[in-house]
Formats: sequence, structure tokens, C-alpha cells
Amino acid sequence: MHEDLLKKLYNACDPMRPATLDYYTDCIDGRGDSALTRDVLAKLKLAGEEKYLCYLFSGHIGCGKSSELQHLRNTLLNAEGLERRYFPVLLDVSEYLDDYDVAPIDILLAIVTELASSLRTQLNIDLKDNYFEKRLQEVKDYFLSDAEINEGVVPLLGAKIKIQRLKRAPEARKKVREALFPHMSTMVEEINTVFDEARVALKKYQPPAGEKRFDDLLLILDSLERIQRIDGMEEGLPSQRELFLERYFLLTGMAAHVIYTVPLRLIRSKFGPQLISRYGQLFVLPMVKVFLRGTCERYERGWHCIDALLKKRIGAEHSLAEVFTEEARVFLIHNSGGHIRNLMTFIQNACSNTDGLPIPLSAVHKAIGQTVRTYSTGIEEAHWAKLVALERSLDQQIPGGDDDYLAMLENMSILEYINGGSEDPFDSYEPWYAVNPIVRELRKFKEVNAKWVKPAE
Amino acid sequence: MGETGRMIEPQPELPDSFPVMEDGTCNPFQPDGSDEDEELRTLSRSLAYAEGFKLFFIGCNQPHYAKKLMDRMQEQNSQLRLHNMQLPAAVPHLLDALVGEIGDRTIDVLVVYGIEFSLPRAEIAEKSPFVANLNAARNSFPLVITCPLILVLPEFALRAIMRGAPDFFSVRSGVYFFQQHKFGENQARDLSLRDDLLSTNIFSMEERQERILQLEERLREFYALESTARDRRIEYRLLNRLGELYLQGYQWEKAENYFQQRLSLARNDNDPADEAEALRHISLVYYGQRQWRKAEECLMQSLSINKNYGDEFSESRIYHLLGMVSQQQRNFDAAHNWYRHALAITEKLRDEQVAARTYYQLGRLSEEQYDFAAAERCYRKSLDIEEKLGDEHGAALTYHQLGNIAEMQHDFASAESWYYKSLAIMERMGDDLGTARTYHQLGCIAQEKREYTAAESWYRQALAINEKQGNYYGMALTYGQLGNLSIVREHYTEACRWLSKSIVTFWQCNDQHFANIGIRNFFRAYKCVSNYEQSTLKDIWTEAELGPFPTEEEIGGLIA
Repeated sequence: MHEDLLKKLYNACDPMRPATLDYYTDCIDGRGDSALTRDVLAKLKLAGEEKYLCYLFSGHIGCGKSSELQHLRNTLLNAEGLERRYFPVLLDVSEYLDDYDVAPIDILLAIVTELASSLRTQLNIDLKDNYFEKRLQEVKDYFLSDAEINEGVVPLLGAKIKIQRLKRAPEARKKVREALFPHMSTMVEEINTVFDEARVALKKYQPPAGEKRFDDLLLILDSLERIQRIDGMEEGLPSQRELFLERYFLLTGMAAHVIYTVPLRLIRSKFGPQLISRYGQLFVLPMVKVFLRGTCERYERGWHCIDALLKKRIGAEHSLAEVFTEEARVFLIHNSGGHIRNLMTFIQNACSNTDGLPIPLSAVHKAIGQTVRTYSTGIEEAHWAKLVALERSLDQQIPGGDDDYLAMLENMSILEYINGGSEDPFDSYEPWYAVNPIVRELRKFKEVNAKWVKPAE
Repeated sequence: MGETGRMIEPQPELPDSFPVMEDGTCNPFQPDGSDEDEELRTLSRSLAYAEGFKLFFIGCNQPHYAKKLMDRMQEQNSQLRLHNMQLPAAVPHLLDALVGEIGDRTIDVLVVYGIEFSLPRAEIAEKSPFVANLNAARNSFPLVITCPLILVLPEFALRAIMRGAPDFFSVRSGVYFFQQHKFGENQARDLSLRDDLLSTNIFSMEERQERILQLEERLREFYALESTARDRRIEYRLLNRLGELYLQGYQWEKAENYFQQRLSLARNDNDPADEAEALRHISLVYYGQRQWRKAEECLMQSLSINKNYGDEFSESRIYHLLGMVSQQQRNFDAAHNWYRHALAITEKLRDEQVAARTYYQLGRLSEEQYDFAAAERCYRKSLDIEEKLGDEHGAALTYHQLGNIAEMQHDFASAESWYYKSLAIMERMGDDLGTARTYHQLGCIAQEKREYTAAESWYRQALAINEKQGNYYGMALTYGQLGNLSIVREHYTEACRWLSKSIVTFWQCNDQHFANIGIRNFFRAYKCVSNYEQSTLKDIWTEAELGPFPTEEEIGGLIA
């Protein structure tokens, strides 16, 4: 009995997979009223039929971005209570792009092929576009196997697997880019005609009885934030800046509603304001707030969210008390810092460290020990003093543009929160930062904290 | 007196922190290193629970040892079917390599070894395309691999993935650490000649013995003189030199005896400078015997005297030694502070000889904290000065350490190249103990490369020298490593013979930590043999007078 439940919980808390429909929990109360789906729907409504939404979405690694995007996709597809129904194309760009070597052409090819594939597999719509089929025909010799070369025409429909395979073949990728580069400007234009063709097909599509007709489509490009190097640019921040700022016309030039995931590091860098001026307001998914700003005091609404999330993973037939002792649950939630993927990893490890239920505090201690060890050896020496400076700061802010703090946001030794509420807009919407609770307890942090001297003003 | 860091920088009390719930067993934020059996049990249970793709990491600096553990897990849990995959060389994309391996096969658990071959040096590994591509391909892994995936890799590679592929690392279902406790010097923090800041003259054992006989004869002649004819400075020098020579030969009692005589003289003569120096030298005897508190007490007394008299030259040497004592106690921050104090003075006084040695120690400090880039920077600084000063022996020691960091990063070709460079000088200068250290490390590399015959040959050469020189600590290390080698070769009786010698010798050297490692490895070997062979191993234990043979339950506790 215990074994079965532990096994179920272990697999329900897979840090690899975004929350399914069954597991998705709306944590809006803990995330400072930040709800991606609500925000996107409101903006789609405002955009109407005249304008296309170009929406940047960000957040910590593992904070729940993909789960939120899945939830948005499901909401759009079901269209319950919505005036218009959108066909969502959720494109995980990492299936196509080598994040160490990306060119804008790669992104365009990925969008076209994923759109064709989604329409085919989900609605049985075959997209035909002479322009892209011709381009694919021109580069088919660079695809990998002889069998594929002899295939003849490369239909858009079948292109997905071949384009995906380019990801793992740098030489072929290079040749494809060289061959298509002269067509780059027209490709941006032509992709918009593909969207139009898709729209027409969607409007013609007869949905099953009881379902609404589709009015439009919406593209979601997930994992775009993981791109490390744009062709010809230095890796990391310079490449991300190149893609999202210097070549923004490519991203904003799509005649379709599009959501792009963008690195948190770029948003919180000195380039953040430029991003806002090009794309409009950005949406950052914060941690679930489990303690109040600048204190250790528990934030009840955040804890309720996490409890609700845990209940969904455990299943309705069992209670939280059956699965965790009170002290184990408190320790888990507190030390997760409201970071959902970390919480999932801790729970998996706790399942493997216990001999029975409820999971005791000792098993949770051991579960967290793995992360303690990785943090204690993984944090760069120069970061400790800055972590302490944040800990000691009165406003819980980080200096803008400081590369070290940006790196700490990326490696999650610092977590971002938003208060929400409506009483004080400045307090409600200003992000604030806290040292990851696990890092805070490390011996090294405590040593540096004890020796800390406030820098001269 | 023992809290050295606080003498200079008083520390405020730790502020309040988030409460940590305690069940009285452990503080999860200060793990004492992994308990391998428990780690193995937890991993085994995770694999039993896991459905579909799950990502696990095993951090282990000795892959063949990790493989043995995986075999053990397989034996303990026959329902698990592990499929081992060894990457023979660098691959550009891990996922592609895995897809090729899996083919049409149905695999329960895929265990991958050899990832480190695809990574460059540690300091740039996190920025390599291989690591970046792990991040990129993260979501593709579950599409093509439908079973749990275990990546076995050294800790530097694990760190590179953690930093360079944070998205990939974040979806892990577990990280487990296993480490066969190696009797290598990077763990042992040996007490090499370089550490003592004494004369740079290097003697072979025979030459040292001749020198001691001659100086003792001279001392006798000195005491035969009428008291009015005795020059105190000669007496100081003789006592000091004899102490140094005994110290270099690891003959602690005799060394202390001479240094104590010198201390008494200095106190009688009310000569604070000599008193301070004698105390500093006595601290080295305690250092050699691993009596850290006593060593620290002598050094603090010496420091206090020197501060009163403004002798900065000696002060820098004391800071250096205090750093070494702190380092031995794994108090790395304090050690770093002391070395920095030493360097500040050596720079001011342009005392390059001590500066070179302090950079060398800073290198060892960074090495112990696995910061190989910083270690290499320090060693290079040390080397620059040594080459400038023509300090060949110092350079040889630094080459050895450069070999050490290359070895720790599994860059065996570079490591061997540095070791051979060091060896050439050591052999030419007749530094037998230095030569033995390098033989030992070459043995470790051969063992890592699974060239077991070569490994044994290096160890035996190292052992021959250490036994001849009476270097017990070096002997204990090599006995232990010969024991480990025998375990790898599955010669368990032989392993236990070596390990029992290692345990006894570590006890003689006051190193309980390494003695415990020997004990743990002894019982790991014991657990690998049949009941009949176990009785032979019991006899070995008893013959070595290692105490009452533990019960089965106690053995479980010992190897946990």
C-alpha cells in the first residue's frame, strides 16, 4: 500500500514534465496575482482582430513556465467562456534548435514545420505552401540519408523530422543556411502567407459537435530562452541580446499572435527597458511566495497554494497528513522557496529515502542533502558576499545590470518574488529577491554573513 | 589559542537564521559526506519507483569504482536490469550517442560512463558546446529514451553541467555521490619537505645520516669545551641543524629534543628572537605528528614574540605555517587569511622565497576545494618565482602539484607529463622522498587507466623508498593504495593484508581519518568474499592486532 502510494507520488512529482491537466494548480495567490493565461487572454481581447500579440514570457528555470504554457494551450483549445477560439501551436524550440548555434533561418523553418505538423496531427489539415516546399526542395540534398535525398518532393508535412535532425548535424545545418540565406528577407514575408493559409484552413475546419470554430491561431515558442549562441555572436547575454533586441523585427514581424519565452537574465539586465520599449510589458512568472518580504514569516496564501498542489499530486483519496508528517511538510515547503521544480525533486528524493508513510522529517533532510551538496560546491566564490549583501539589504533588491546577480538569478541561488495585491501598486508589482533558503543555511553563507561589513556608501 | 582566525579578525556571533527542524540526527545543511550504502539503497529504490525517463547523476571521481557499485546494486536487486554504456571517446551530442546505443533494444535502466571524455579542461568545461547542447536537447531526452538514465561522471563534470546546462540539471530526479576513498596525496595532504620552510638542502637518507653523525660528533666536541670557550651561536646552529635533519627524516622525538634544547637556551639567554624561532621549529614537529593544537600554540607564542619585536620577516613565516595548520584541519577560510597575511608581508619585504612557497600553498588550498583554475594560477605564480630564483627543487614540487590538478581533472596525459618533469629533477637532486611521492601518484594514474601491473610497479617503487627512509605516512598511503588496487583486481585477501598494514601505520601517524578509510575498505573487501574466505580475513585482522573483530551489525555500521 505504502509502496504503491510512494511510487505514484514519485512519478507524479517528475521534475522533467510540466503539470498535466490533472496536476495543474493555479498558484495565482502565491505568485502575486500573476496568471499567465488571464493576462494573455486579456491582451488577446485588447488586440482584437487588428493587431497581433507579440508577448514575452519569462521566469526562473523550473518555476513552472512550461506548465503555465500548457495550461494556456489547454484553455485556448477548450475555449470555454472565451469569445474567440485560437488554435494553439506549442513549439518547443529545443526539439529543433541547437542552443549553441542558432540562426534566424532555423527559427523560421522550425515554426513553419511545427505549424504544418500540428495542423496535420491534431486537425488533419494538410498545409501546402509552394514557397517553403520549394525552399526545402533546394536544400534536401543536405538532409542526412540517401533515402531521404531520393524521396523526391519534400512536403511541409513531412519536413518536421528532417528539420529536427538538422539540429544534430552542424555541417548540414551550415549548408542549409548558406543556401537559404539569399531568401531570408522574402522568407519572413512568406511565413506570413503560411499563417494566412493556416488561418483559412482553420476557419474552414469543421470541429466536432459542441465545439466552437477556430477564429485564429496562436504560436507559443517555448525554450527559446535557452538559446546560448546566435550564429556569429558571442555566447550568453550578447547572443540573447542579438536575438531579442537587435533582430526583434524578426520576432515582432510575424503576422500571428506569438508568445516567446525569454531569459530572465536578459529581462533583469540593463537591456530590460529596451525589451519593454520594443515588445511592450513583459510577463515574469515569480516564485510562489512562501515567506513575507524580508522576513522568515510564513506567507499563508502561498502555503495554501503549495498544499493544494501537493494534494493534487497525492490524489484525492489520500490526505496530506497521510503522506507527510507535519514537520516534514513544513521543512519541504519552506526550503523549496516556492520553486516548484525544486519541490518536485525534493519530494522524489524523500520518497526514495523513506521506508514508509507518512514521510518523516529525516527522509526530507536526506532528500534536501543532495541539493545542499550541489549548491555548496557549485556557488562561485565571488557570489557569497553578494548573496549576503542581498540578505542584509533593507529593500530586498539587486543592483541593476550586475552580472554576478544575473548569474545568481540564473542558477537560482537568488529567487524572485512579487507581492501582488492592490493597495499599493509600487509594493504590489515591484519584484523583490531573496536568497534561496537552502543557500541561506549553508555553512559558507553563514560564515560570510557573520563577517559581513556594510560597504561604504 | 586554537581559534586562530579569531586572533586577528574577531567574528561577531552568527545572526538568527531560518529555523531548521531537527530530529536530533543530522543537520541537512552540513552533510558529512555521503554514506555509500545508503546512497545506493536510495538510488535503487528510486529506480524501482521510476516509470519512463528519469534523469540521475552519479558523481564519482573513480568511474571503475562507480561501476563496481552499480554491479553491486544489480546483484542486490536482480529485478533491475542495468545496461552499461561506456563512451570510448569524445562525442559531440550525448543524445545522438545514446540513440545509437539503444537502437531497437528495450532497456530498463541505461547507465552511461565516460562523459568526461567529451569535456575539455575543468575551468572551461561548463562553456563547452557539449554541455550547452545538453541544455538544448533536454526536452528531447524523454522522447527518445523511455527508461531511467544514469550519468556517471567525475565531480568536475557534474559541476560543469550544473553551471553550464542549468535547465538540463534542473530536471534531475537525483544526484548521488560515491567515492572510493583513495590514498592519494590530494586527499592525504601529505607533509612534504616543501611545507616546513626549513633548509632547502636535500639529502638522500644515507647522506642525511652521515650528516647527523658528523654534527652530533661536533656537538659533543662543543660540550667538551670549557664553558668560557663555548660560543652560543655555534650551539644554537648545531642544535637547530640537528633538529632539522631529524625532522626531515621524520624522527620526531629526536627533532623535538634538539629544538627544545635550543628553546631552553634562548629562554635562559633571554633571547626572544631565538625563542620565537625555536618555537616555530617545534611547531613543525607537532605538525609532522598531526598534533594541530600544539603546533598552533607554538606558532601563536612565536607570533606574539615576533610582533613585540617587529620581526616581520619571521612573522610572514609564522602566518604561512598557521595557514598550513588551518588547511590541515580543513579550515579553509582561516588558511586563506593566514596565507594572505604572509603574502602581504613577503611582498612588502620582497621575500620572494617565502612568497613562492605561499603561492604554492594557496594552490594546494584551491586544489583541495576543487577550484582547479585558481590552483593553477597560484602554481604558475610560484613557478615564475622559482624559475627566476633558480629554485629547481621548488619548481619540481610545483610541477608535481600541476600534475596533481591535471590528474584530478582526469587529464592523465598532462598529469603524467608534469609528474615526469618533476621526477627528473627529484631523481637528479637525490630527493628520495619527493621521488616516492611522484611514483605513488604515477601509480594512481596507472590504476585509473586500469593498467594494474604498471600501477603495482609504481606503488612498490614508492614503498621501497618510503620503507627505507622510514617515512611512515608515505608507507601508510601506499599500503592503502595497494589495498585498493587489490580490491579492484578482486584479490581480496591480498587487499586486506595491505589495508591492515595501512591501518596500523596510520594509527602510528595519528591519522584516524585515513585509518578509518582503511577499515572501511577492509570490510568492503570482507563483504565481497565467501564465508570460508571471510575466516582468513578475520585472521588477518587479528594478526594485525586491529582489535576485537566487529560483529556483522558493527560491520554494517562501519561500511555505511
